[in-house]
Amino acid sequence: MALIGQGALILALLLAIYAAAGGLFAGLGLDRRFLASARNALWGILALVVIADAIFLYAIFTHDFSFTVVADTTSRSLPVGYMFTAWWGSQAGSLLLWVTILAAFSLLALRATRRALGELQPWLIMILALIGAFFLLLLVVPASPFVTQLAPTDGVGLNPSLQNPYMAIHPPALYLGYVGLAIPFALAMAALLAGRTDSRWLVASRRWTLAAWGFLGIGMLLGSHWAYTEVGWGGFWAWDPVENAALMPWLVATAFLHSVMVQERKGMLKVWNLCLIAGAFALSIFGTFLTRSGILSSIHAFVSTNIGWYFVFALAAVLGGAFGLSLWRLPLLKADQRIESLVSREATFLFNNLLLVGLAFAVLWGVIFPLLTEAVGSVRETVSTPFYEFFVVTFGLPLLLLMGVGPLIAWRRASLTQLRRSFLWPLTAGLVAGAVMIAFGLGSSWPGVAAGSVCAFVTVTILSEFVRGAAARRSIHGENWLVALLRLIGRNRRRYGGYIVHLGVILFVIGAVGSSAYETQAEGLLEPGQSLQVGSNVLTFQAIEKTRGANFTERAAVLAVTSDGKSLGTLRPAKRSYIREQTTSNEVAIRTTLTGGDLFIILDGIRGDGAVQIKAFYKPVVGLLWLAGFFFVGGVLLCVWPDEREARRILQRYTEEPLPGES
Amino acid sequence: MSDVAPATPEPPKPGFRHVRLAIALVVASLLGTFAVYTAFADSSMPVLSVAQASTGYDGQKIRLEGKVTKTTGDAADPNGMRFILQDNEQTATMPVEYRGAVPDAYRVGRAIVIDGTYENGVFTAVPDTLVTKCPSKYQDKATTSTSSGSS
Repeated sequence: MALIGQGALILALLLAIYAAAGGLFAGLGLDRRFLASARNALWGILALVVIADAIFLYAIFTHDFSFTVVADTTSRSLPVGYMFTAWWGSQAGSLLLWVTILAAFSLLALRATRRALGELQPWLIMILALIGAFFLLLLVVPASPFVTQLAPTDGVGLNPSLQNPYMAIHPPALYLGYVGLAIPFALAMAALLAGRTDSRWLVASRRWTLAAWGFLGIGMLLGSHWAYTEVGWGGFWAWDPVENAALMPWLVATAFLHSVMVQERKGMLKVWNLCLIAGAFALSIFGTFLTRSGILSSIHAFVSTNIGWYFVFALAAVLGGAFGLSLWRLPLLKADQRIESLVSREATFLFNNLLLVGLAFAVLWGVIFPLLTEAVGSVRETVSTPFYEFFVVTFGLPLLLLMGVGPLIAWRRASLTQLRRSFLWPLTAGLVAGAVMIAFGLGSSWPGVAAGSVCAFVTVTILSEFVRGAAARRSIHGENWLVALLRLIGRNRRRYGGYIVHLGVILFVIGAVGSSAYETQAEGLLEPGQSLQVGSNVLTFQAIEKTRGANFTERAAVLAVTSDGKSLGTLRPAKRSYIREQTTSNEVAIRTTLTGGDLFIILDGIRGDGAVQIKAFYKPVVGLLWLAGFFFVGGVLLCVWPDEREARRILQRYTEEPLPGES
Repeated sequence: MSDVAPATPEPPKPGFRHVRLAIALVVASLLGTFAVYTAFADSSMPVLSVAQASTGYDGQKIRLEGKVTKTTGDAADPNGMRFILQDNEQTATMPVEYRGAVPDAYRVGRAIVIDGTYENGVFTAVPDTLVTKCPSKYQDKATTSTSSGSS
C-alpha cells in the first residue's frame, strides 16, 4: 500500500515537471499541442494525489501502524471523528492536504480563466505546475507520508489539543487561504510572462484573492475562538509566530483588495499590485515554512527538520522570479494616470495600503527578530506582546479612520463643500461617542476612547452610505425601504459586501479593544465559603465536584455567582486529567451576558486541603469579536458570489479596451 | 476614454508634486515610528539556554529555554511550584519558581519556554508565562524507520 502511495506521489511529481515544461513550450509558441497535454497532466496530478490521499486515510482508519506517520499521530482509542483530523495532524499529512487543494484549485482556476484569459493558459499551467512540483518534491523526499516501519501494537495518539471540533475546521480553512493565494500569484506571473499586463488578470485574480483572504480570516478567527474557549488563558491572540504567519499574508492581501480598485478604475499602482500579490504568496510560503521548520519556538511547530532549506529555496524563487519578471515587463507597467490630489479616493487607498503593508512589516520584523539578532550577535532576542500592540494601535487607528474617510471622498479630487457636507454627521458622531465614553468613566484608556470615537465615525459613514443609496432608489423606483435596500446591495455586491466586511471590522475592534482595555481581573485562593469579586460579580466557592468521563476524571470548583445581590446560578471551572494521555487540561467556565460581556473563570489549581486558586476576568463586549465573524463571512460571500451583471460589464470593457502593445 | 493619459507623460503638475511629497512623508513617518520604537522602547529580551542564563544575566529579564527534569509543588499554591530546567546538552540545570497557569502539555521531559529573572541561583518566573514547546510525539522518527521504497 505504502509503495503504491509513494509511487503515486513520484508519478505526480514527474507529471508536474512535464506540465511545467509543456506549459513553457506552449507559451513560447513552439508547439501549441503541448497546452492540451499539459492541462491533462494537471488532471493526472489531481487523480494521483487523490489516490495517495485515499491510501493515507485508509491507513489511518484501519490502524495500519506500519505507516510511521499513522503510528505517530493516531491510536486505536482515537475517536473516529478525530481520525479524519489526524490527516493534518502530521507534517506529511498536512503537506498532502496542501497539494490536494492546490491540484484542485489549479484546475478550477484554469477553467475559470479559459475564455477571458486564453493567452495566459500555458504560463498559468507552468507556474501552477512548478508550485505543485515543489510541494510534491517535499512529499517524495523529506516528508513522505508513506514511510514505513515495523508496526507497533498501538499508535502514540493524536495531540489532545488537536482533539477538538475546532481543529476540524481551523487548519483546513487556513490551508485553503494559503493555497488560494497561489492562484492570484500564478495569474500575475502568467500575465507578466505573456506580456498581457492589462487589467484582465487583475479582475480574474480578485475573486481568488478575496476567497483566499476570506478563508485566512475565518481560519484565524476560528483559531482565536478555540484559543479563547479551550486553551483558557483568557486571551484570544498571543502573537505566536505561527499566528503571525497567517496574519501577514492576510494584511498584504487586504492591501491588494483595496489597491486593485485603483488599478481597475484608474490604471495606477500596477507595479505595486504585483508586489502585493507576490508578497502575499511569499508570506504564505513563509508561513508554511515557519510551521514546518521549527526555526522559532511556537506551540504550533511540528518538528525541527531540514525541510526549512527547501522553503528558503522556494521563497527565493518566488521573490526572485516576481522581481525579475516585473523588471523585464516594466515598460508595460506604466501608470495610465496619476494621483492628482491628496483629497481623493485613490490617495486614501494608497495611504491605507502603506499602513497595511507597514503593519505587516512590523509583524514580520517581530517574527524574524530572533533570527536576525542571532545572526548579528551571539544571543537570540525576542519581542513580545507590547511590541505588536504598539504597532497595532499606531498603524491600526489611522487605518480605521481611513475606512471611514474613503467612502466619503470622491475619486480624482474632492471639493471642500462636498467634504464639509459628507463629514458633518460622521464627525459629530465620533466626537459625541468620545465624549460619552469619557462621561461614563471610560477615559482610563486613551486607545480605548480613540478607537470608540473612530468606530462611531466609521459606522455612521457606512450606515449613511446604505441609507443614501436606498433613499435614491426609493425616489427613482418608488420601492419601499426594505426592497430598495436589498436591491441596492444586490446590484452593487462588491461595494456593499465590502461595507459589510467593514462593519465586521468595527465590531471586531470594539470587541478587542473593549475586552482588553476595560477588562477587570481578580484572583485568589478560596476555601469553601470564601468569595472573590470581579467587576460587579461575586463568586463564592462552594465545593469541589468530582466526575468521571469516558477517558478522563474531572474536578470542578462549584462557584455560586451573584451580581448586586441577585443570584446568577453556578459556574464550574474544572481540571481534567486524561488518564491514558497523562495530561491535564483546564476547562474554563464562561458566562456570557446579554451585552456580550463574558465572566471568564479559570481554575488555576486545587490545593491538597481543598482550597482552590481561582482567576476570574470580566471582559466587556468580547462577544462582538465572534459576531464580527458573521459579518465578515456574509460580506465576503456577497463579494465573491458570481455576478452576471458585473461579468457582462467586464466582458464589454474587454472588447472595448485594447491590449497592451496594440494601442 | 478621455481621462486616459497621453503616451508621453506631461511634466508633473504642482498638485502631483504635493501628492508625491505627502506619500514620501507618510512612508518616512511609518519607518521613523518603527525605528524609534525598536531603538528606544525596551521591547525585546534575550532568549537563553540554561547554561547561557547563568553567565552574566543576573537580575535581567530573560526568556529561558530548557527541558523539565523534576517538578514539585503546585502552581496554584501561594508558595508556587518549583521545577528544574535542564539544557538540551544536559550539562547545566537551573531551579525555577513559578506561579500561575500551567499548560495542559506540561510534564517532566517536556521542553518549555518561560520568562523571568535569574538571581541568587534561582530563576523567578513571571506568572503565566510558561509555554510548552512542540510535544515529543511530533518528533521525527526517520532515523528509526525505513523508507517505503526499501521495505
